[in-house]
Amino acid sequence: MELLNLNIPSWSDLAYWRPEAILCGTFLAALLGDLIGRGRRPAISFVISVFGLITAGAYSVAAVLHGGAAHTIMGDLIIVDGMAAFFRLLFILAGLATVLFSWTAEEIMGRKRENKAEFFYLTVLMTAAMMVMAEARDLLMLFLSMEAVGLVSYVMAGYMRTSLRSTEASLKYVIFGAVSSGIMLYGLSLLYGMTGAMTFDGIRAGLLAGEVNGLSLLITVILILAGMSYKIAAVPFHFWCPDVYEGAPTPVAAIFSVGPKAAGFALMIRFFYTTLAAGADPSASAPLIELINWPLLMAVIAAVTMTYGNLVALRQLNVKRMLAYSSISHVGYLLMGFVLLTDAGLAAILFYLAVYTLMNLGAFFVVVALNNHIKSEELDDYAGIGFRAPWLGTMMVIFLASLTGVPPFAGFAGKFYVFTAVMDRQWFWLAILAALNSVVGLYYYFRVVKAMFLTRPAEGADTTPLKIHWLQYTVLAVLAVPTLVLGFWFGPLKVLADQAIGLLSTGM
Amino acid sequence: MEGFLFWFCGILMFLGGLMMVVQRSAVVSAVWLVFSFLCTAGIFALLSAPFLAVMQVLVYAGAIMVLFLYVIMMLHGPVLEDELIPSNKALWPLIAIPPAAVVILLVGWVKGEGLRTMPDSIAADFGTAEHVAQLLLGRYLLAFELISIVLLVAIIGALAIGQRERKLPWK
Amino acid sequence: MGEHILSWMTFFPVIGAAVIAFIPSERKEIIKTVAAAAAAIPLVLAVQLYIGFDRGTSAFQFVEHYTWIKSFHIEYFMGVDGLSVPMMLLTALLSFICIIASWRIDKAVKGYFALFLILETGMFGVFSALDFFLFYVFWEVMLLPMYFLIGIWGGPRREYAAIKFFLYTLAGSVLMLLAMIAFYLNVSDPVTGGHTFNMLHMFNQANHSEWLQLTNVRHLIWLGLFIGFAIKVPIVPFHTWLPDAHVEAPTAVSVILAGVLLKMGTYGILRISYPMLPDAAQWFAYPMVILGAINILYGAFCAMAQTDMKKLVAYSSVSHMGYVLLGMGAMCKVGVDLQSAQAAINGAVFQMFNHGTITAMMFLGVGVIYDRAHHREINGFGGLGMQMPVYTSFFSFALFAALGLPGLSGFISEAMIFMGTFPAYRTVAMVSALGIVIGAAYVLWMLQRVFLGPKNDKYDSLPDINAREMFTLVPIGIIVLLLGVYPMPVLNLMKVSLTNLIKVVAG
Repeated sequence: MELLNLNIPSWSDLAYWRPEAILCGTFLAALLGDLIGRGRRPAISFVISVFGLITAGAYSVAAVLHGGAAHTIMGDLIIVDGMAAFFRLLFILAGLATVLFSWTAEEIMGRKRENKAEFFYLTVLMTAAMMVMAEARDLLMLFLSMEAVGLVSYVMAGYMRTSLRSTEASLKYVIFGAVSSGIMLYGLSLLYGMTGAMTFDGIRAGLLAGEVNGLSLLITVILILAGMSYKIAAVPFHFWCPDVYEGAPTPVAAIFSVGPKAAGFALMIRFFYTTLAAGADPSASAPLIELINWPLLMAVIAAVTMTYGNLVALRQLNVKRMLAYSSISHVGYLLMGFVLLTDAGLAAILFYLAVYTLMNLGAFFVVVALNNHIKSEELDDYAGIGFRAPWLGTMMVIFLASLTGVPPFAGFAGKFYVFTAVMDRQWFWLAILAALNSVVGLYYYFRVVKAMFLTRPAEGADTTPLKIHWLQYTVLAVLAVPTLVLGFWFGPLKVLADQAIGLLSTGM
Repeated sequence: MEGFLFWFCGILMFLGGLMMVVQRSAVVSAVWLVFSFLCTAGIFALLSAPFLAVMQVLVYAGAIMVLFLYVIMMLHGPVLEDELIPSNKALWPLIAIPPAAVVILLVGWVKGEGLRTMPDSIAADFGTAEHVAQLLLGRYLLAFELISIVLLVAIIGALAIGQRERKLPWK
Repeated sequence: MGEHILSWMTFFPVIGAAVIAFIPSERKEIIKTVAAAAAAIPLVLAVQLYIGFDRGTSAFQFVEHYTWIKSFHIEYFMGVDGLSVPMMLLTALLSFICIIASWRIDKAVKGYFALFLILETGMFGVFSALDFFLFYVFWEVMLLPMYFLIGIWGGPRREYAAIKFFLYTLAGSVLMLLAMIAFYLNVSDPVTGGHTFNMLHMFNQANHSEWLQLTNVRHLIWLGLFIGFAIKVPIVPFHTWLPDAHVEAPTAVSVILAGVLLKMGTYGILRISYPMLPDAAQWFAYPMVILGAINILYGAFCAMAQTDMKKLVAYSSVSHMGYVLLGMGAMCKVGVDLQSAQAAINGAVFQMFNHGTITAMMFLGVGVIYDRAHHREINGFGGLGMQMPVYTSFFSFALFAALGLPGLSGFISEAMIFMGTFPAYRTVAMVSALGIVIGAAYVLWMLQRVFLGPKNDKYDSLPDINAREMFTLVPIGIIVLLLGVYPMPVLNLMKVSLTNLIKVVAG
């Protein structure tokens, strides 16, 4: 059997896989720490998690600095290349920020809660699973890593045990998640039936070699897209998103809104780029893409997603729900990069994801910080709060302006890059629609700003300054400063994203 | 003959799954699931994978489902109320996608551009315990380990959800 | 500072804002002093710019050119020519005066002055950027401070006015963004062959790609840019944000809004649309003149109907910006003699400058009375001339300048515009001239209702204008008077550059 003679995992493979291994170990250690502390000492898990994330981050940075070619490891199931390195850093940033910030979040650490440590080690595990998503090059790993992230998410979504809303959100998430996984699995099995291969490269070779029926391939792609769309919350698989974000504790919603989404995009980039677009012979890719009219398919999904998210966000009066719909519309902008499966478009996605992670996490964290004091996420309760915590308010303005895409903030650079990539291939209607959408976005983002700074609080309302924990300020500053700096100094990030994608096409 | 058996098992498996979903009583649902598993085992057997077929019967239909039934009976099998099924209207289009895809694919298949078929000859050790073990603990070792982590999370999740103070809609 | 004079002018205010951010908010006087200093230095530099500017060439001067973001071919490219220097002077002058005029701001002082200084940076940047991306960034940098300045320190409907301003201008600027990207992708750098944001390369039609040479494409891009700029000017029917924003904004912000921000629309058309798409400019000359006429008449009629002094001044701005459009359109017509075209465009740019100074005076004047009486109803006053004689003379001076009294600067620019427009578009020019008559009517009518007639007893105790307010009005008044008698100091600055522009567009 030639299958058995292939690259079999060995210990030496772990040399390229240190961050993931460390995070898995951290997860187990934190879990044990929680058990030793009998669930009453969340600090043990917290410290272990932070330490593990930092160590893994250090190894990831070292891997980026060393650069080097792509490595196919673990029995050819995993590829560690520039893109994987890029996403590792992104996920560790998101995971670490969330863990650190949640230490002072009332919703996680509140007195009523039991099993506070659960949040920390699950976040660590989620970070590791997301990395695997970005590294998978085999259908089996693709599905398993998605399920791993999914399962962790289901548990985290139902974190607030005593809240009916949270339980319901979790239940919804599980059921819809299972259905969409099933649909995707069906598509994957059809793809295997067509090509007889499990690795992405093999699938591509099979698609190019065999007589592929365009209709069958289109249906297969749509089925697979259904599962992935669920993960990134693209229309029409978005409906879980607002309920889950609203029902879950805000720190959980924060990492949901960036982590699994970015991981879903990483997976989509690698899967579709490898199977449909690039590979050894880029010129051969055009027929496959045209066969299923991929650009139009993606353009329509992107257009509908961004418009829907924006229009519904307009009506929201709960900040968390508004951010949930806004994240849907951002998925629309991100999907624009997929339209042509060009290097520039995919690099634009990476760039935008990095920026989006910073600003969206930041916006959610401000909501967490405010929730600690006012115990509410309703827009009306935000009246005049900008003057009670001026620095917090300023940072919220930075994050929201960046989400809107106004210069000189990072969100603008991201939009600029995506628009350029799309317009380079003459998809003008999509660019115009996206541009108009960002104007719509302004209205609901700045409704929060308006509430915080412009609206005067009601008579007799509390106007004492809010005391924000120094750890929260630190984390927020770490997110806000790059959001500002990347707005007018985004060259290095662009180079990083370009390199990550460039290696993707050569590393196969 | 093989073709007939495939369709026989396949359709029964699908029906079993369908019955499992629409049943209100958890016990009956579980029994339908067992039925569906048995049909799956039949398809494994047809694919020259006797080991997998046996495992399917022993582990899934046997051990796991027995445990399942035991737990359900111990909890006096809660019967699902309508309002518990979250907005099932949104779910229908999702469920409709695979059957629609099947129909369309069948059309494509009838036109003669179908999927690949099994090779005529397969190696002697295909589908044996040894072969499966070599794949599982060799090339697919990482996937195997990942599944173990997924299961660990599932246990944590089950513990978290099962905790007593949780407010459940039916409590 | 001599070498990087433009950068210093642009970034000194924002440095001041950063300093202010770290002063404790109770130290209001210190904050105000720092703000005044941060605005005064660019004013000094502007004088240096004025002295050092070579009036004999149309080339860009005081150029600073560095690579900024290499992977996107974005450069830090600043420079000024005869079109931008008057605007830089105007910005420096009005910003400083506005800081002084804001001295009585009492609420959240720190935020106010920091935002004001950031706004100033954006304005200088727009007028000196020669890289399209840089231009766009500065253009947008102004939105956020403006939103807060209107929204936090504004009048009763400030929330509505602020978001309306923001939405309108952002809608315009995303169109500009798309046009900018289209240019970026279709203009090649003659040296490297890659894409470029360098405006000078974009001016050169030889660098345009084949796609960009298509007439329809050029017209569409022109329209995208035009709408983007038209919202800022504002050109009817994109003007509806303006009355709201002006009425709700605090006095100093109104001054900046009318004095500088509106000019950026017309400046953008002259700096970007005209040289990059000269053929489209010719194609659009007639619609532009028509729009100008509509602006003049519509603005004037609306002003006539207002009972709020500030709203009246706001609509008068719409009307006065119409003259600028008229001159800009007339310039593009081919086959008109050079002298007329020169008169038209010089008049238009001079009108931009004059409107900045005159409207500033009017808004400052309205602010003075509003600070005392806490309302701006035209019909609520009467006979103020007896109560506040000094104030009355200043305000009347501003109003006469606005209606185009000979001897004051507004007359010269309007006369030049009409002289230039008559040979090109006789009918439109004649119809537009009606605007002057209506302008005189609404100005005099307001003058009569507010300052003349029987005295309203309610205002017996109103104090006359104080020294600080005088300090804000006198310098502008002197400039208006001087330029009305001898306009050459400003006209000389721009003549060569604008003649070159005529050659590019209509020659």
